[in-house]
Amino acid sequence: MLSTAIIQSFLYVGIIISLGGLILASRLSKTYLAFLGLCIADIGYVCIGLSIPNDSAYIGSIALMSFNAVARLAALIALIRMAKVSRALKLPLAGIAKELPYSSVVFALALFSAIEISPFFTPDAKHHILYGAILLGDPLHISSYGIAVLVTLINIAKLVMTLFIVHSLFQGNSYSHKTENAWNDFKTSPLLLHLFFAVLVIFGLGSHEFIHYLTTTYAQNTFSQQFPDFTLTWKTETLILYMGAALVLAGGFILPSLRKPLAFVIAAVSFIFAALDHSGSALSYFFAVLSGFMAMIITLYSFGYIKHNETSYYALLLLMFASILGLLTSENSGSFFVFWEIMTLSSYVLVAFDDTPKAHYAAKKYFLMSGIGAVIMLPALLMLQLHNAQELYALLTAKEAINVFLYVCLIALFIGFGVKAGVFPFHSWLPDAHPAAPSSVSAPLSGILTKTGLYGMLFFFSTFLGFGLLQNSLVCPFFKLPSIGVVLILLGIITMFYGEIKAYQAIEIKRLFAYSTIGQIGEICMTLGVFSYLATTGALFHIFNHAVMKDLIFLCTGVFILRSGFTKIEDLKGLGKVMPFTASCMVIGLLSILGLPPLAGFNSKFIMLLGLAEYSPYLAALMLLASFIGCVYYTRIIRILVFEKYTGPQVADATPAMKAALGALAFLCVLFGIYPELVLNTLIAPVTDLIADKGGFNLSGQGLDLVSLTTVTWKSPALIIVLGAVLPVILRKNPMQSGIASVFVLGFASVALLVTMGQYDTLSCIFALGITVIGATTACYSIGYLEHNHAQWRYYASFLCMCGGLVGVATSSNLFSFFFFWEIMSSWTLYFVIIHEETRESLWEGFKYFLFNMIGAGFLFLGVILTVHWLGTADFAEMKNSFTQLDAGKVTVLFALLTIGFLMKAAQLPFRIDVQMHPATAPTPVSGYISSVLLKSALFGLAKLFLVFGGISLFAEHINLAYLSEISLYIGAVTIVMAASFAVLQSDIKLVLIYSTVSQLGYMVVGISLGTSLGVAGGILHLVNHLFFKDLLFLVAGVIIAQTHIYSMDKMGGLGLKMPKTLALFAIGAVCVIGLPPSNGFTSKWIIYHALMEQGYVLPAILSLIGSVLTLAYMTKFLHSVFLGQVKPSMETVHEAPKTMLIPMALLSLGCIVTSVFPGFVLLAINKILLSAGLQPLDVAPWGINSGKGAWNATLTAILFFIVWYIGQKVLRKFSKQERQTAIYTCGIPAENFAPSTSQDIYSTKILFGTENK
Amino acid sequence: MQDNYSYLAFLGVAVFNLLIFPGGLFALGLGVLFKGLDRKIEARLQRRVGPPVIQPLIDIVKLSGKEAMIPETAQRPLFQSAPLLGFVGMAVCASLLPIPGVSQGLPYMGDMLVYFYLLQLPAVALMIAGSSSSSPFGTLGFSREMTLMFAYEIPLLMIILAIAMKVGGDNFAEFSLMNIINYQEQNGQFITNWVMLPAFFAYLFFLPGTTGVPPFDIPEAETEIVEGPLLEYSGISLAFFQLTGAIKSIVVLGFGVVVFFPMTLGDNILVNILWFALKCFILMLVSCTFVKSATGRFRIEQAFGFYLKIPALLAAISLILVWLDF
Repeated sequence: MLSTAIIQSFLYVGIIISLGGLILASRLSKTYLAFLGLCIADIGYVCIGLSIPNDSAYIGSIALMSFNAVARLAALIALIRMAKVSRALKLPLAGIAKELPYSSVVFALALFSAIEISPFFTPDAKHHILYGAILLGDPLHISSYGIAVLVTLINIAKLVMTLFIVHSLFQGNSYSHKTENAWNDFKTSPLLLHLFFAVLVIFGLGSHEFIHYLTTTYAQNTFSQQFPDFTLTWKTETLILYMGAALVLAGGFILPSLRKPLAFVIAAVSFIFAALDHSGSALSYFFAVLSGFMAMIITLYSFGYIKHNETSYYALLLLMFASILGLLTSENSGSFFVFWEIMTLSSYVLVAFDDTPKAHYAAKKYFLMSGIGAVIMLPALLMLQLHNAQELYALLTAKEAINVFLYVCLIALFIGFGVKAGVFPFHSWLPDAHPAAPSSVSAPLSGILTKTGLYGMLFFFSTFLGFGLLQNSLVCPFFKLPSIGVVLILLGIITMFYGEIKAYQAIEIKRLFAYSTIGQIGEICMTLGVFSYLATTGALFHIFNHAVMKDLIFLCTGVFILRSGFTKIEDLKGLGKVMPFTASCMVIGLLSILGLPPLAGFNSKFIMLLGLAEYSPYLAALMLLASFIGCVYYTRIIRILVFEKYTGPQVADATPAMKAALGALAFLCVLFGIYPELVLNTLIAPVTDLIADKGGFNLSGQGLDLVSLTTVTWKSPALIIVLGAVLPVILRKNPMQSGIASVFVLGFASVALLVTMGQYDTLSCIFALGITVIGATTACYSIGYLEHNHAQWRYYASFLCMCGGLVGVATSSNLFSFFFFWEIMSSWTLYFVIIHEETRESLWEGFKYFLFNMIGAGFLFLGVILTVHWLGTADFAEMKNSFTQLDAGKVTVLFALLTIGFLMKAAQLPFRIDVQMHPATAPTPVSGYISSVLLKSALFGLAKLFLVFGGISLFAEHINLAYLSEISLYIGAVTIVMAASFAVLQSDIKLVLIYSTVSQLGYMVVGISLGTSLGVAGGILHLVNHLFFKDLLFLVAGVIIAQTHIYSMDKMGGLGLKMPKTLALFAIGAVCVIGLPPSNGFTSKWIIYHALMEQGYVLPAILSLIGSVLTLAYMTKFLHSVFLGQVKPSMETVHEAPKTMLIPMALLSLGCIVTSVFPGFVLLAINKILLSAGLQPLDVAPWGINSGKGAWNATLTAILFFIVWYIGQKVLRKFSKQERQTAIYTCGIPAENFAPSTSQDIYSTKILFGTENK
Repeated sequence: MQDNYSYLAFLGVAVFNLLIFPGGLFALGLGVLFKGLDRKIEARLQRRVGPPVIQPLIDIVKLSGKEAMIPETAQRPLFQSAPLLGFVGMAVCASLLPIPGVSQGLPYMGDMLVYFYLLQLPAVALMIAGSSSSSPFGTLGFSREMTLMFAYEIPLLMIILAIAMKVGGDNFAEFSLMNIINYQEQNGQFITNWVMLPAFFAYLFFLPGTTGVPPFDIPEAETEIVEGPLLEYSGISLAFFQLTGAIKSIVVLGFGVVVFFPMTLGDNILVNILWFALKCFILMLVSCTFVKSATGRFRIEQAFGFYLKIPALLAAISLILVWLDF
């Protein structure tokens, strides 16, 4: 043995030589001789290795010396050949790879092998030396790891130089324009090159045996203690893919037509093995199944996508997936790291696959960042390999300050994984690499590769170290950081916002999705940082879903780009129209990533938010805020792709193979949306349990039965409608039939509702019945209204889904289900229906509506999440009990959030800002439906949750609620007058009705907010009445628009002559909305006034009464300007509406009349609701309210009216037997000379609002 | 309410109220009579002889024998039913009016809010009449009526709320006319209560507006827009408008009497009926007859401004005083 002094001196010599070599290399970096510098550096490296007095480093040094000698020689031979061809060793040699592909590849492989990144593996010399260096160190003295740090730094330097040397060969084509076949190059290469290449490969593949040989021969000590186990883990699925890659490469040369099916079969078989192989941990299994599946899908998709270099593409793709599966199933950190490096290498080549300057730049950046990250991570991995977790903690707890050591270790790991995952500040490769890579590579980059980073974190932080131990022992002395979780959360938040904001600004579609991936990773990271049972479940689920969704999105984007040749979002306008299949899949993916049900993203987002809320509601709020940004740009993409006008040439849709891949992913999105248990139970729960087993885990939420928490109650009516939504799609060739089918579906649902009536409470039943019945009439009306319209099937299908969502809301028996349907009803379905006309205005209004609605839903979401979290249950039946135990503050927060959410939905001041809740540009039947039914869902929700939480007893227990409801009462009252005033000012017939709805909703809000028997009864009664009369009025407006194609009152006049039936129907609706006795509108408003005055709310009472005067004003104005007055010349050709439109209207007016004359029938049902709320029921009879405040006999009044009317009519008839038609009297001036009146002539508007003072 | 009446008997009473007393014949008769008296007194005040007191009745009889003329461009169904609409509303309104010391009105029906809504009907009828006649003057009348209605409804609303809260007491409200009468029997008439006096004056201003007499006859201004909405009406239809006006005057006057000075004279029904009629007459003299014989006509925006300034302010004073529990 050499003396210690000599060994010491070896170290310094080694350092000097290495530095010299590296400096030389950098000085020569303009020529390929730079690689000679690397050779010298290797010598220094070996010296350093030898200076470390233990077996590991010794063996490592020998291995390095021998292997690198071969590798460098191989590289030299290749270089000489290239130099011969190019006659220069100087740059630019760029692009020589095109002429000498084989030699260049050998050169590259040799150089990469020398830094131990090789698909054929290498003896793990670097590992061994570093391991030896770490063995030297003492965890208690961080300074004792100097050599390890040194070695790491040298590794980084080598990596950087190697990359620059190698990459320039492949980049650009400044050297030669000749493109050669690899086979030709192979044939003409010297034998020596082949030989060295073969040795390199054999050496690599046999590296394990080589190391084994070295250890048995040269090891001096008993190395069982000191010697690391770096055995590669070869699971069957990994092996299949790895061998498969070689097979495809070989097969591609022999029989090119075989490579595609071969690649697919290999991927499929590997997936099957991965799915059947339960030998690893649950965590590995989870990720392996996901990756294996994606390998299959991506291969399938690539059939249609990749057009050049197919052989190498498929080989590399399979190699990449092999390495991913390899690292996911690795059993030691050595194996993990080796596969990790192969993954980086193969994906790096794939990123550069398109061979554009952009791609090369992105690939270099990617490789550098990932590679450096990995090198930094390596010592930490070895550290963990050296000491198992328990030992490490035992060491560390001996001395507190040592926590710094663990921190350094963890930060090193975090850098390595963070780079891959794309966590800020290590993300910057991602937005370059994703757009530059072929889409079929961007998809796994985004969907799978980023997830391996997360896998690493989960594996090492959670299952290897055990998060509990980690958390307890990690109190940073400097920053008082309580746990690494906080770091994760903070970085997660930054990453999330960074990603979302950058995505929002992005112009290129793939760059946008790359940033959105960063955003999503941020969300996951942040959730992982909470480290509770629920949060982890949510994060894992989202990892899974994000892989599916993002792959789907990237693959669809790939098809769009492939077909159109454009990458900018704006250039893809309307492309979806000519590629319906891809567009549908894309929309599914986007909606899913938006977190909208019934798609996968919603479920995982819900659980994540639940987990976050458990830790801090603010985090949940932040995440909702970030997803709101997401909403903006995702919706923009949907709009541009699907709803804008298409102007480009006709292009084909995706190829069948692509369609199969896209279809499968889209199907999964839907499947996991509807049936999340499938993943939760089989894949995720075992992982979470595994992590939980590692102790110290915040177990709250483990008791929660997640499956029951996320159960959607599919009651038969909702199911019928949602399934029925398929019918219009099937019948899309015949619009009439699809319309009729929709009517039948809704009618059938009404019947189902009546049959299963017993299952629901009265409130739900009334509301659900309103939804289906009014829905059926609206659908029937639409048949006439949309007669010559486009894409009617889309309209009917969305409309049905929307109705299904509404019925679902009404019939849900748990909060999750309630919100699930709520989001279906108020998000995409409604958006699609609103923008049906696809005009510029409707798109813009629909977009505004969508965003506005999302904000409202955000509040609601937070409210729902907190409710579930604080009450510990989502089941309505169980909520009441737990609610009584909540403290006042929480109750206030809950109610504030829910009320804000609901009031926004109901478009109440100050939440309405504009008429967003209710775009006038929607097809009129939809406007009617929104007004009469959809916006009521807010009030329904308010009432329902109020009942669920315990009804009136809440007010007694929580004084704050009284203030809250008082605020909403005043909001409602002010809204009545404000909106009614706006209505008076409008001249667009739909806007009048829209503002009118907002105003009428104010009455309902006022009534329900009162919380007294009379108030609630009045509010609900008005809700039911409004269902009928407002829908009727909208349908009338629709008839007018359909027949005249005019929206402005100013251009109408005298329509009553042309459309007498419509006028009659309008009159009924108008009387009701004004509330002239004995109409139904009067009865309900009457009750509300009495309820208000009963409680002494004078101001709201005055406001609501003024509101009714204003209602009279705008309705008479409507009547006058549209139906009466002189007939405008442009109105001469107008005809009465067709029967399909008149019949639904007649039915609605019948509903108006019945509820007018016999309000008691509805009131009887309302009484049941009052009872269940703990309120005193009213004394009700069929004709109205019998006694007490608000007593009213509508039937008698109606009879009195009828008697007088009858007598009056008789008298009129009797005395006007003689009739004469005359011209109107105009004081002798010809009638034409009178300027036609417009609604603007009406003094009231001018005087009331000061526009003129004549 | 079914304690005292069987349904049928109740219906019978209601029909009686509607057709005979206090609505129907009684109100019509009284209204026509008042109209005649009004014209006679106005004429005398202006030093004219004036028509006989029964002239309005003569007019109606004469009109009912005339040929009905309908403009070719009119909206026939609405044009023909507009006169009825107002009439029906007022007839029902009259039937719900309790006469102090005579009849109770229908239980739970005679409510100020019902009046608030039903009183809009004649105005709405006039608007529809004007609008459906397709005459440009009708259109002008329509917009004027709408504006005017909005103007006088606001003070009325506040008057009603002031009364309701005064009677309800303690932040509650009572809208039932019968209960208002009972309250005043116990606590003195509102006309003698300084808190309610501003509301009463506001009501005095409300009356000419709602009955459409000068200076508020703007929608039908004969000399300006040739009767506006009524221009194209003739024969029995026009008669119905006059009948509506007659009943309406009784309804609004009676309403004023009931809510401000409902005191009875003993228990004799006949005496009380006459007493009620007399009070109505006095109210009419003060608020309409004297005013209209002395004034010209407002322009519409003057009327609008006037109502939202003086009567609204007066009513608001009462409302605030009541609210503050004076």
